[in-house]
Amino acid sequence: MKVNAKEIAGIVIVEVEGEIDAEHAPNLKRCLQKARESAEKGMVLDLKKVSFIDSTGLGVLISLMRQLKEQDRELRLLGLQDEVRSIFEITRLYKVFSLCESLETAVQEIKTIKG
Amino acid sequence: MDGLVVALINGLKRSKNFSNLPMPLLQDLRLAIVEGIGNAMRHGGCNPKRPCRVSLKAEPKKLIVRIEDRGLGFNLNSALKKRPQDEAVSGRGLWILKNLMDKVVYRKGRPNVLELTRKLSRPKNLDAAIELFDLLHRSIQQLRPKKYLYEQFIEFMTGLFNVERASFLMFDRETQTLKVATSRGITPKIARKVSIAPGEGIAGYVFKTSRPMLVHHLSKMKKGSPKPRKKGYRSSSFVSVPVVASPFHIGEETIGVLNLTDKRDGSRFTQGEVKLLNLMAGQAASAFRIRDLLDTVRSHESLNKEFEIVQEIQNRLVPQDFPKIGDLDIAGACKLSNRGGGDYYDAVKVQQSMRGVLADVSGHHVGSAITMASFRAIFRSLVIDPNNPGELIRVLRWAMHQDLLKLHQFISCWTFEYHSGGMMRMSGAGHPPVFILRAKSKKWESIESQHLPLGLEDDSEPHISKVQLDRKDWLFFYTDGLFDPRMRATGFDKYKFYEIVESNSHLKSQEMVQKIIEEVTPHQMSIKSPDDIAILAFRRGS
Repeated sequence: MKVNAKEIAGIVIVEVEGEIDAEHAPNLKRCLQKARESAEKGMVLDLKKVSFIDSTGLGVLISLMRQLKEQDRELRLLGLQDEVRSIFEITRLYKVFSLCESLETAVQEIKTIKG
Repeated sequence: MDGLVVALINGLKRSKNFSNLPMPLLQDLRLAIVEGIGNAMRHGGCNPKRPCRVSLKAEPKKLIVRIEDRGLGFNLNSALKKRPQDEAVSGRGLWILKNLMDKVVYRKGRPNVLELTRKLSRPKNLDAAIELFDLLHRSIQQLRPKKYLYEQFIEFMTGLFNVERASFLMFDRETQTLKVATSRGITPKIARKVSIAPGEGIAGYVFKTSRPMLVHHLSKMKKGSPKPRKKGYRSSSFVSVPVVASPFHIGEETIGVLNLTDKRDGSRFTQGEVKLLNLMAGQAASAFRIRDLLDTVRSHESLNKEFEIVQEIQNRLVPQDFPKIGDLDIAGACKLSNRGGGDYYDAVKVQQSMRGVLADVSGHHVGSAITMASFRAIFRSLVIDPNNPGELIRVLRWAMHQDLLKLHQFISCWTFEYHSGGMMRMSGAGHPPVFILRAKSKKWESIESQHLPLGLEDDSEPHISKVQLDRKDWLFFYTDGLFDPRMRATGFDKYKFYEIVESNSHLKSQEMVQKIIEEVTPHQMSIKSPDDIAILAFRRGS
């Protein structure tokens, strides 16, 4: 699993590639915690290249969402592949995460809310 | 005006989901509405041509009252700035509202709207039970010794029931007698001497039968009743409950007995209190059990043993047998992967029905297994009360929420209730769909879960799906490990599963689950880090 992060005007965009399972979830969690430090307005998780996610992986995302919410920061997910989207539908987690179709939309939404 | 308000409240009481609201809450609500309407009439210029409108909205967790008027409006914050003088003739109404309601909002406009919100708290019984479990569970997480948990338990119960005397007796395998593990209001010298054989006296009787006992007049017990071992209790009311990690002793061992007597206010114990005591003693027993399991974990230093530990935990907690309800044939199987730990299923008989759950705790290894054990304890303690599977999911969500938050976990699950004759009701929280194979049409059906997983807030109304199982119909609950998408590459998916079931539909449920596990195992072995698999299979009329 690979994780790349870049910050643009207080929004950290994190691109994840590979499988987010029990083996890789701790590493992802560490990367996201680090990225969160510079995410003044919020974060965008680009999951276009994520082919698989299990419950441990979902737990990492939920944990991030809660932490950002506590700090009044935004989170957007984008690029869910069919398999990953299906997990979000089964678990009904699509109701709690904000899903975007493009990076531009995600960034714009955060800017609109946070200024 | 009061007649209108009374009509509103009565309408609320008549509704199915709000018929058990406590009287103090209804009285508060009534007063608040009266004050609100009074305010609207006095300052909002209400008259027959410009009537005030009042509405009451009942949601699962709160009641919301809206009072509209077309007056000039006022500034709520200014009005509430200073508490009215004690001698003031008027001006109290808004203060009363503020103190009775959880939230008061006023919006000026056309119309002006006064919105009052009152939260609905959980039933007190549930609050006390969950509070005890939280207390014990925190101590478990802090790895406090068992003796500490026993002390917390008796301290909590003594305080809650306001008694002067209490004792928690545990069964000592060496001496085969009940001995005092901890007590209040009994001198240590006397406590040390207590040694009760199963069946002897009230405590021994309760231990042997695993049934609680409430005694009002120790001196007037019926002939043939267990005799109290010693006289000298100050009051005539005495209660003894078994401490067993399941309310109906379903395959569980009674570990001891909790006795309470001498209420400080001199009142008697009620049947309601016995029921609550029973529930809470069950919670405590489950907590002690989990503490034991942690000792097992800690005693294994090598990481290689972790799988065996998780397997040990699961073997102890997943049932081997199921209650018999009508012609239902039910079986379950759990296949742990090498990173497993959080899959679980359970079923208990409640009156003439069977209530159960199939759940998947996120994450893996021992952490998930311990959370699963907690979930099981909560499920077994709370399964009897809720009216339906949807309500059961709601109380499970309440009970598990804080722990799941702290541990960054969530639980997806289905709860179900099966009645003889094939009627099944179920409610799902973030879990894969249920599959049903109809024997007559040979067609497959599926039912989707509607709620969010536990560990996340979900205020929606409990959603219940109903299914009528006809003879030889099959129904399956399972965890998502069964359809890991990575197994598609080797040829196992939903359609393969359908094929296996259709080809073996003549089998009994136990054989069916074994067949499924046998078929999926090679596919599971072919993927890296596979998930656990749990399956529950139901069939009528085998």
